[in-house]
Amino acid sequence: MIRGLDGSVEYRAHFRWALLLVLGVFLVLAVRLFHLQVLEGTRYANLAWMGHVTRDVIPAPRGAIVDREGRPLAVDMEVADLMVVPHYLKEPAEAADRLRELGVLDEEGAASLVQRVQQARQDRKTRFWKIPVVRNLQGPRCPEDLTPGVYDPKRQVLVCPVCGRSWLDQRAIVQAHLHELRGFSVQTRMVRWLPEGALTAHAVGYVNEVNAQEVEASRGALRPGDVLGRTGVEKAWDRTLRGADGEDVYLRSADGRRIDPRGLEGPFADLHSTPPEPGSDLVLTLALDLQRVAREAMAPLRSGAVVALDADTGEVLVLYSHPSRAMGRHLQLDRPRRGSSPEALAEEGFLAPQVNKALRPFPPGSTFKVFTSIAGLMEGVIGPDWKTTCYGSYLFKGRRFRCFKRSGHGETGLIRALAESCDVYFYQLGEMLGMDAIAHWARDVFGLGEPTGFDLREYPGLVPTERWYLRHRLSYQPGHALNAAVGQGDVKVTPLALARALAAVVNGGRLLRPHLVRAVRDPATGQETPIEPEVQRTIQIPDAFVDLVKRGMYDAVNGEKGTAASAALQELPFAGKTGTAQAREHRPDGPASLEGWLTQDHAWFMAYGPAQRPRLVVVVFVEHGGFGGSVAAPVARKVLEAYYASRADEFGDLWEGVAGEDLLPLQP
Amino acid sequence: MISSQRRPFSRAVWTALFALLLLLVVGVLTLGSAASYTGERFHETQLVWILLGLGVAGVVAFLDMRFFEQLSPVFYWAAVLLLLLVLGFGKEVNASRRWFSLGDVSLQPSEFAKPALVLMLARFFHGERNPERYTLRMLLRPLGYVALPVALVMMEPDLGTSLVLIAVGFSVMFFEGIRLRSFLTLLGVILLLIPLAWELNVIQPYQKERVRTWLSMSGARPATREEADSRMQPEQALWAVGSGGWTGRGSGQAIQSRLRYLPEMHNDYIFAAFAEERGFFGALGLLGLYGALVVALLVLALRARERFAALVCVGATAILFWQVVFNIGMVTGLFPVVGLTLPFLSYGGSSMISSMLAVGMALNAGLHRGHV
Ligand SMILES: [Zn+2]
Ligand SMILES: [Zn+2]
Repeated sequence: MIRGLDGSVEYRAHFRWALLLVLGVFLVLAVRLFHLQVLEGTRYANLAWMGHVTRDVIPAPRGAIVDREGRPLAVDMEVADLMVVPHYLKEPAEAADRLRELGVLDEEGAASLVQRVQQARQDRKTRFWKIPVVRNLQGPRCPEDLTPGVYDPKRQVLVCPVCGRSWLDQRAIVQAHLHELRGFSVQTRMVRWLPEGALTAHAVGYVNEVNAQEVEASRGALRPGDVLGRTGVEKAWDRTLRGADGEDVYLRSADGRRIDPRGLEGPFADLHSTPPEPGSDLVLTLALDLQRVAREAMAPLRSGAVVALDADTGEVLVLYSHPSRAMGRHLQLDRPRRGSSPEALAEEGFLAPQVNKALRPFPPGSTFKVFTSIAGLMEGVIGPDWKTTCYGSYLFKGRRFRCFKRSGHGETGLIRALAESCDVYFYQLGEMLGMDAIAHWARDVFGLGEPTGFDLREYPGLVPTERWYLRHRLSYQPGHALNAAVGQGDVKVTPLALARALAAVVNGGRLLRPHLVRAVRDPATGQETPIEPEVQRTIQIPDAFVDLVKRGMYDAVNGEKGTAASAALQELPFAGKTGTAQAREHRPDGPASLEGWLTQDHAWFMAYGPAQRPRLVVVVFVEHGGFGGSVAAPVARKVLEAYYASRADEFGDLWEGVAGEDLLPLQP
Repeated sequence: MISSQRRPFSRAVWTALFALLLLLVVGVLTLGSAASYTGERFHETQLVWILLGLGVAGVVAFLDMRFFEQLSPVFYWAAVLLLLLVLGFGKEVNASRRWFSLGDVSLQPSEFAKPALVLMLARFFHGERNPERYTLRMLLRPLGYVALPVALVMMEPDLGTSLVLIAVGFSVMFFEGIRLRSFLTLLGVILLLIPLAWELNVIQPYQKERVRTWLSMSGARPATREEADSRMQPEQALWAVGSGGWTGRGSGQAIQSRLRYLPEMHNDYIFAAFAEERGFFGALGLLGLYGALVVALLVLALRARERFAALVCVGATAILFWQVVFNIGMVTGLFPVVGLTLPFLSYGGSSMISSMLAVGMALNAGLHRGHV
């Protein structure tokens, strides 16, 4: 069909409609573009600019914890793990053999690798998951003390110049051969390395990752993956150790690459990364060598604690609770203990290695008599010359209070009563003083049964008053005061509080806050901000009274009949007071092997030395240890001996000098 | 066979050619700009496709229209056969069979289905001698011609091409003079068919997902990671287009493109890259070029001497027009993601040659006097 030359009339109308449709549709597109680009343009531009900005947390390195000489106790350390993706390991046996040749795997590890790889390869998903081959590849530093090793070309090993042990630098070996080990990779991570393990476990504590509730409760201060100090200094000083995380801000492309924002226009000028602020290091007051001596001395005993305080500053040089166990999940470097039978483990569990016994209250026994003495003298109940006669027991209101020495001490003055630990003397003193006077001096003045203000959490214990008896025991009996006077009954004090109180007796009446941190150290500059000693209370006691008590403690160690005479040090004498506290326990949950142990007395010894110029206070507590003079005193003696040895210069004049007799007032 | 006489180039032809040339230049420049972000130098290969396409357009434009009229059933049924074959033997890419793989060259039969359908419809209406408007009953055959390739392409599945086929079919019928009542009835039937197709899973799950994505795009934050991922591409395209603003970010400054958040930047999403760099003014200019091309080609249809040539011209123009509309509508979030290229701008031989084929067919109508 042929139409007119200028097109059909029929189509002309349709053409107009078509034109309208085209224009209409394009108008819709144009309006849409106007909406997107002009009306919403700024919003979309901001989305495009800022929508791809990624902010990654750069975790701040946690501060190190070192002892007073700078020896590491807890440090963040990068360790390397050898990993493998099973999918790429077609011949696991071959690879395992190669790793054995290289000295990276032992026979057992090689077998385990083959077995685990074959198992993972069974499953389509798990075959792509990295599995660890060797955790903590041995690096170039000594595993014992972190000293860089020296290469011994003859044996082809690294040798530690400090401790002499030798090892292979597995990290370097693996890196050098990684190209031929298809599917293997080295992955690094940070661990909290606690080189001393159980030795400083209670003082240093441990860290582990925060849980979901803690993250929520912190309101943004903590993020998943952060670690938090759980016990010890790690917990008490967590904020100082932690520092502030930094932030890495950059543009991320769709395929995950990092894009340099320079050269692009827009608001990227405001983007900047912040470096992390490393946490501060802590220099502890602990003396690692003394700590070690304390541990060794306690090793044959079942349970107890040793505390050593600098009498002038309140610095804690030894804080050891026995038994101790390395804690926390970041301790992969700790080798598992070998040869522990199930019985031994059950026994150890019953002895509560996780509890820091230096900060738990126990009945102090006769060590308390020192404070009863001062109370008697200060209250004027007794004069320095007051004497009584001990017949082995004291009858009070129809009840017989026994002396520690059944045969009796005979005529006894204060010095002798302390040196030979006559209970009858103190029963009478207690009767004269009454409960509240004892509590006043022991608690309100010397801080026993009170929190000491120490860095770590403590359980202060109790020095009861009459009021306390009325409230908690319904009635107060005067007999309670007699028991309290010899550190029995309901009196309970912590080894640390006892050490602080003894320090106040021998340092001229300054009750100090015991502290565990000597200085906060800037990790970058090494500059130290010292923690100053803190005098909590000044106690005014006439020198004559103090000398009297000191003389009693001197004789307890150095006198012929002293309760701790067997522990005496001839060359540089120390003084102290024994304690043997009745603490018969019956615990049906305990292992049978410990039943007899539970019936024994707590053994105590508190000492200061040198006797002529008191510098160090040591308190030893042995739970159910028996007699204080023979069980606890030797431990204190070893610590003091080590202390003297480490400060030979300071005590040089005393070593040479005559015995302390010259310096102490001689009294009958 | 009656020989045809050639006409001189009219103003409409010149306009169409000029608009086409500018579109090709814009396309190469945009691909070149994309290369500065991705380092993939597609614009150089694209020059080869352009030359090849121009050759195809030239040959098609100067062939005798009679040739097309006579062979249109052959083309049509060949295209249908190819569509059937590709369902059986096609190369499966992203869970759909759209391509034949012939050594290094890939062939997409649905690209040929579009011009073949146009020729078949033009031939049908050319043969009908009813000056009155068509009733629905008379349209049953041409509707069948549309429905057959649409169904086959849907099965690949390729929703975008199906939509273009439907739109092109309607355009030809509409131009030929369909009754308004019939048109509305057809529209109603199709609107009823969509939910049915949805329910009977003719529309593939991933296509449904895209529609859901599109429906939820303006909504609140994505609830799941999967949703966020499926939303990402269209959403990122919106960010790109929107951040162009009035004048665009300028060459090399397009952040979305630079960070590669437009994965198919050379292809389906090239308009997003263009709009981000050139802004609202640039996008309007591009729409203007497409508008000029489409209108100029429609003018040629009006001047055609015979019904067949006019309808071929309209159909070929409709192919270009709807593909532009669906692509830009998809990139700007007006439609769900259907996966269509933008004629003359998107990279690739298939797209370029099929677009040029359409241009050549449309020009043919304006260049020949028809048979005397
Ligand atoms: Zn070493
Ligand atoms: Zn006695």
